Amino acid sequence: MAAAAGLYALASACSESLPEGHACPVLCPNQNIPVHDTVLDGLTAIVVDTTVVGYPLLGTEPELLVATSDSVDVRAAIRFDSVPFLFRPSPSDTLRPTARVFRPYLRLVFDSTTIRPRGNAAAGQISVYDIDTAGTDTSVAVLSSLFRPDRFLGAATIVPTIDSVRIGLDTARIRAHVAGDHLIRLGLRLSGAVGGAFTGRVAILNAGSGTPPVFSYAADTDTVHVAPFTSVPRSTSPRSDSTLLNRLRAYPIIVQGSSPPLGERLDIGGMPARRVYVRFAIPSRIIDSATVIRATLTLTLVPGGLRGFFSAPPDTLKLLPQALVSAPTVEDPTRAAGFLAPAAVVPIDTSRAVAALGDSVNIEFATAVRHWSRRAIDTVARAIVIQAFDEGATPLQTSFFPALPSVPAAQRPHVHLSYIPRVGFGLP
Amino acid sequence: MTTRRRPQRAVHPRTAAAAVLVLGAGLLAVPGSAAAQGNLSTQGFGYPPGQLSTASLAVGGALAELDPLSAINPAALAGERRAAIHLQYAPELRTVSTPQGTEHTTTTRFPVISASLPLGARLALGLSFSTLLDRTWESAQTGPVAVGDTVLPSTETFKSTGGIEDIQVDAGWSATSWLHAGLGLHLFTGQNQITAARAFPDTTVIKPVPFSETATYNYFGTGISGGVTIRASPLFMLAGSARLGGQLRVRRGDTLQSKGTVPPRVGAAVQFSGVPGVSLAARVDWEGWSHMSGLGSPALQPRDAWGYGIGADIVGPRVGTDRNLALRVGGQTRTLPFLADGAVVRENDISGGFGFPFSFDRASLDFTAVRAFRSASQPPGVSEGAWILSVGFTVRP
Repeated sequence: MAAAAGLYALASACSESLPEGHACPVLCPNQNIPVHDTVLDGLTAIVVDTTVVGYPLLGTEPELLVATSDSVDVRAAIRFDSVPFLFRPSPSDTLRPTARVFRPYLRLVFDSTTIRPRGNAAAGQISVYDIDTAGTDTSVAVLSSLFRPDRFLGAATIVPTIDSVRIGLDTARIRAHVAGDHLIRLGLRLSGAVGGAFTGRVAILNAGSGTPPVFSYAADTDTVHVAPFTSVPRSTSPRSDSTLLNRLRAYPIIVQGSSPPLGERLDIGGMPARRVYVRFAIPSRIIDSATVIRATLTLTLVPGGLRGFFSAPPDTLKLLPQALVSAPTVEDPTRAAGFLAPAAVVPIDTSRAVAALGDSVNIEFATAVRHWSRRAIDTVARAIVIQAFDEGATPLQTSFFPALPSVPAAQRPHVHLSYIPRVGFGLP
Repeated sequence: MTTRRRPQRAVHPRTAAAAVLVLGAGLLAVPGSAAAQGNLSTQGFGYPPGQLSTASLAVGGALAELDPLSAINPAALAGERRAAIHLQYAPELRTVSTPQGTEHTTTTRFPVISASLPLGARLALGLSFSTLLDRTWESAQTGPVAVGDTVLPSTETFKSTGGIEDIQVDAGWSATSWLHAGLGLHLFTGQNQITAARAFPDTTVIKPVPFSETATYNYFGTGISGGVTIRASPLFMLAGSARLGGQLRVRRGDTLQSKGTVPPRVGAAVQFSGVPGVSLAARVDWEGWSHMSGLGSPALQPRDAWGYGIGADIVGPRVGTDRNLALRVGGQTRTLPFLADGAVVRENDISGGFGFPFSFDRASLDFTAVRAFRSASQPPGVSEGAWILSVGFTVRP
């Protein structure tokens, strides 16, 4: 038995040398795996393609955009509700309310790659305003009206060589809030450092990141016994909606958006953000009986469809296609577009749209097709959603032609499938 | 001179049989290392190793009809007076030469595992697992392929593991001192797992989804065999056996794919012991592989195969205090059942080996090396050579 086990181990340890196939194909009958190709027009392969709005939900943006141009005005609101206001002047003292405020500031960390423009001569400036107000919390009209000189708290210049900034704030106004309602609600606005017309943008790392905005002040000049207070974004209203309450820690105020009116286009990105829902009708003879190794959705750019792009350095809008986990019974594209499959379940590569890229963009979604082929047609929607990678934090927008009969065939979306039918190799 | 034997430890026959069953099922199920089908020998349903023990392989198969360890003639069992378990490991190192180049591959096999158990003075039972056809191979080719608007390097791989095994339960009966007869019942079973795959290792431009398709085929058939051995004179021993095959079915899952017939077999051998210390033997064997024709596609045309073998088993020098070393030499020629590019493949072997007992004759080890030459008229310029190295281990508790 021991010898047998030894022989078994010896056999299992044998190495294998793979052949190069010199004797094939003549001695390898029926060994061929051909790759077939077919191109389907959008009118045939696409059931629904439409632009979807309403995503991301307010306050869930990956970053906090502030941008300004002649056509775009996006500001940001950050709430530090319930800032600490009780302190001990010395360790033996009792807690007492803050009566004075020293060195108040707001610290912001940028996604430095997003800073535009990048020339030092055209530096931007972030101005901070007190936007605390009673009543309506999120009304753009109300909030935008609060960016007034009498509510100005401080400002700092933004240059591409920095990745964070500390903005000193008006002590008197901060003290009034700390001693009063304990609500520090700050509005951020980007403008030119030297005044005049300015076009630029920067994205600030949001409350959910590892380096959120920080508000700080000192309650005493004694920095040995009294540590400065620091706060991260927190919202205490509306009390009736705990989910919204949490989201409103920091959110954009879109005074003037980058998105044009909705039309017969497929829009992706922009502020407010748009995404595209595309539902496919891939022939069952392919999806059920073959293995799709490559599936490409080609979208043709509408002339002038790239908006907000800087040319130097050139902007890139990453397009993130995602499959859905919703069933086909969810027919409303806006609702269905919220049921996104995690990348770990259906990984799809991003595509890129840049100003100099050309007139079309390819979306590779073979992994989604494979996901669908393993599931019954009534269990999962054979659809993808294409959104901007930093949706809700970029003013960049791109538009594509939809699959409509009125659109010339060359400009309609089309689907290119490369597939391998069942080989059927088995018995000689 | 007397030999002191150690007290033998009793091994219950059922224990030995159970061990063989477990080992047989396990070892025969071990897929060997892959070899290419881009060769002459593994066409069709595969290569027939011959169901020979290591010792029989060394003498060109000439003694197989008289060998209780080979799964050929059930009558040979009657000569066994002690229980025995035999395990065999036989890697094949193959070289295929073509006008385009030379390939080297390795295939691992466990061609025969057998056990025998004498019941009284006249009857012995046996159980064996042996490989009827080994269809283990792999071929891979790399080249550019168009995927949409891009041409990518791609590797196309075909792989087969498994084959058809012969599980044989047999009995040998000593009718007289010169006549032994035997009967065997066969179950032909086994599995082929076939994989076809296309991979795209370069994903810098696009990331195609790799393709892979796997199919598992299960074989099931039955057969019966019988044989005799006759001591015609003190110098001559004759033996013959035949096997009749029943229906052989191939299923994929629950679906019957095809039907054929287990190939029948007829063989005969003669052994001459007129030279002291030398046993000469010759064997002829016919196997009706064409009965399998319904099992594959219509294009598969298996051919009946004749095989001829001669060999000598020579008593060699004494090994320690046990018995003598056995020296063996032989040669064999046969045709293989499945055509290569429409042509019959012939295999010519020369072989040699030795065996020695140890542990007071309670165990023995046999080593055999076979040099095989395979050729066919088609395709031109293609030939195949192989070294088959067989190690047999026999325990007689």
